[in-house]
Amino acid sequence: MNKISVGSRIKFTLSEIAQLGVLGALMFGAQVALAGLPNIEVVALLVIIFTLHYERKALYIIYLFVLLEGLAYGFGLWWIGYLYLWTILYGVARLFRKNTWALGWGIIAGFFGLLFGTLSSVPYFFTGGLGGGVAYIVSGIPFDLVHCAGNFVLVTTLYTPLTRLLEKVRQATRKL
Amino acid sequence: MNKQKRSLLIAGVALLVIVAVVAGVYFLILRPQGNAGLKDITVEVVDLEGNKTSFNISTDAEFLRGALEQAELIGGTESEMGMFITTVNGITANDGNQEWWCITQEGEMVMFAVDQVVIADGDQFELTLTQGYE
Repeated sequence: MNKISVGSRIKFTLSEIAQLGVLGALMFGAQVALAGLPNIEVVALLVIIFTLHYERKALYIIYLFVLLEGLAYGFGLWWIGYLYLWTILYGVARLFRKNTWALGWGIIAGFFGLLFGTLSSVPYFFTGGLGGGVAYIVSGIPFDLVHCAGNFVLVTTLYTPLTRLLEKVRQATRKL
Repeated sequence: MNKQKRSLLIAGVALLVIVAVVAGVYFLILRPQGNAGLKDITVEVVDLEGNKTSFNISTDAEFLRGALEQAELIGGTESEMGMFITTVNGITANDGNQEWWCITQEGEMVMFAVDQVVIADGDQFELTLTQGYE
């Protein structure tokens, strides 16, 4: 099978390039679909699952998603946070990659939701000073609590079925 | 699942709940507290061309949203962060043109949503129609 090299280490098959593109678009579509529900999202779940399956290549999915978010909603201050927020979750998922318990991933996603406002506040410390940054964190706490609960429930319940589904898809695409 | 793994997961869930409760208490202590009583505030509306219109509002409202609604100055949609202002003094931001209303207090960007901005007597705010999200 033909492989395409990026740098000296990562090699892609054409099938993988197509998969990464589709999954990045899927992640964006899932975010848009749930945009009406405040801080209820499946992006964290998808980042975890894609990281476990695609390892370093998952970064291409994540940054395609981030680019699409910027194109759709504008490259505002919030977008700077997106440049590192999902990569932090990627790093944590890589760190705990041997974990196979859905509940364990639910706990990790819950903490990520709880810390989301604090992690995304960094640009606001630069624009609004110490007071502005702290105000941003404090005003966002109720939404972080909802984010935490939503992530915990969604990841705990959907991690196993979605992992199985992705494994089936990957097996099917290997034959292509 | 063995006993050690189960204990680890229970500890993880417990820690998550504890941190969430602490965050909730932290919010209840630090959240903006309104000031009771009559206040006189000034609100300056700036359109895209830079034209300024000033409004003096006397209000008992504790937060900026209440004062602006009392003066029938704003309209908008409800969002997860509170009201997202779309219209000020009859001027509606054109989302397709990346227009939005920026709230500042004496020139400083306000970090809270309009629902959470505490007002005090003598405060001055600016509502500026801004183009571009950067």
